[in-house]
Amino acid sequence: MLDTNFMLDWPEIAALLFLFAGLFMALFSGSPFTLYTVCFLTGLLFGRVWYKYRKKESIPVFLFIVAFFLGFILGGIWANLRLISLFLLAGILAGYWIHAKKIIRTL
Amino acid sequence: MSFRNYLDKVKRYFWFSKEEWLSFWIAVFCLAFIYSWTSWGPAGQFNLETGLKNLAIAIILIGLTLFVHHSGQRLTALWFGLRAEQKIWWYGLLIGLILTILSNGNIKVLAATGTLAYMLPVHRLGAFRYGPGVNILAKIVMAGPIANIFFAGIIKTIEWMGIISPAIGEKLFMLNLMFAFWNFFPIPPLDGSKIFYYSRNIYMLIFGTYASYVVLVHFFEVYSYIYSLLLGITIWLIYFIFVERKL
Repeated sequence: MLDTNFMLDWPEIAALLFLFAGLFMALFSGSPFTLYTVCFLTGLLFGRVWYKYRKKESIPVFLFIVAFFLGFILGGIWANLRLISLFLLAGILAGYWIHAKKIIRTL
Repeated sequence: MSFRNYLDKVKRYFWFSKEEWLSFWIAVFCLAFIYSWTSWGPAGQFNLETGLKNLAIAIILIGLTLFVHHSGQRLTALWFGLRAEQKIWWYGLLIGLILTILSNGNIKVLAATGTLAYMLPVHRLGAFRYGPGVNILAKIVMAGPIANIFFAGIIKTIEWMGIISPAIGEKLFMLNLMFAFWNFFPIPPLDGSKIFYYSRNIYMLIFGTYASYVVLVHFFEVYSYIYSLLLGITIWLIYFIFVERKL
């Protein structure tokens, strides 16, 4: 039995959830176009999270992104891995940039 | 506060700033995209012309709905000497888009904005509890969904009078109810969360009244605010007896 302490291991537990989220999102994407669009949109979402926690909890955020990416490529094994990586990265950078430059202020 | 004073406040502070307009149009476009996802051609087919036409209609309908929602909150905020500002709820908007794409339009989340209230110091002079509190914030955000429900009622009346076509009237009516429904969810920063934090009883009363209205309209074709309110009071009473009293 694994000895887990939620207060200490919460990033790993949350990362596992993100891994499954990525896996199911990729599995439910019926076509490559849907897969890449969803990948980009999730990247935008992570971009905001990364911007918000850039000064305090950037390592857990990085862990979530990596876990999501892993789940997503496992679910979308049939698609182009390079394109998935590219769209996710583009989404994260775009999301971060929009907030860093204060183009729109969001909640 | 005199009515002239209120009108002056509306004239000075009601209108959207440049940044708010940008957020407004981004929210409108994304929500219109979500709303019109299933209207891009006949079942199972894709037609660009039909899709763009339906997207344009959706932009107008969503724009009206969102404007009514925001206006209700802004006007109420000014009444209390505060200024309401609506911002995009980034996660809600993106999750809505992702869910719409993944479910092929079967799940349409129309929750994309949250409201903040700033104090207008000059207009709060002498007010009891000078700063903005959860009480006033709850009243301000409540005005949004309620404005949508009343607007839906007005649209239905206009439709019955034959001024607008039933197709547009029904769409706008349902859209306003749907938009109010999503905003009533007690998830921060949606309107429902602020009412919920202020008072669970009031939340149950309002949400019960709203749900009753939807049930009456959808299943019985009864368009009555009074019956809805009576049912809402009943729902609140049941909640109070079985849940709230035992907490």
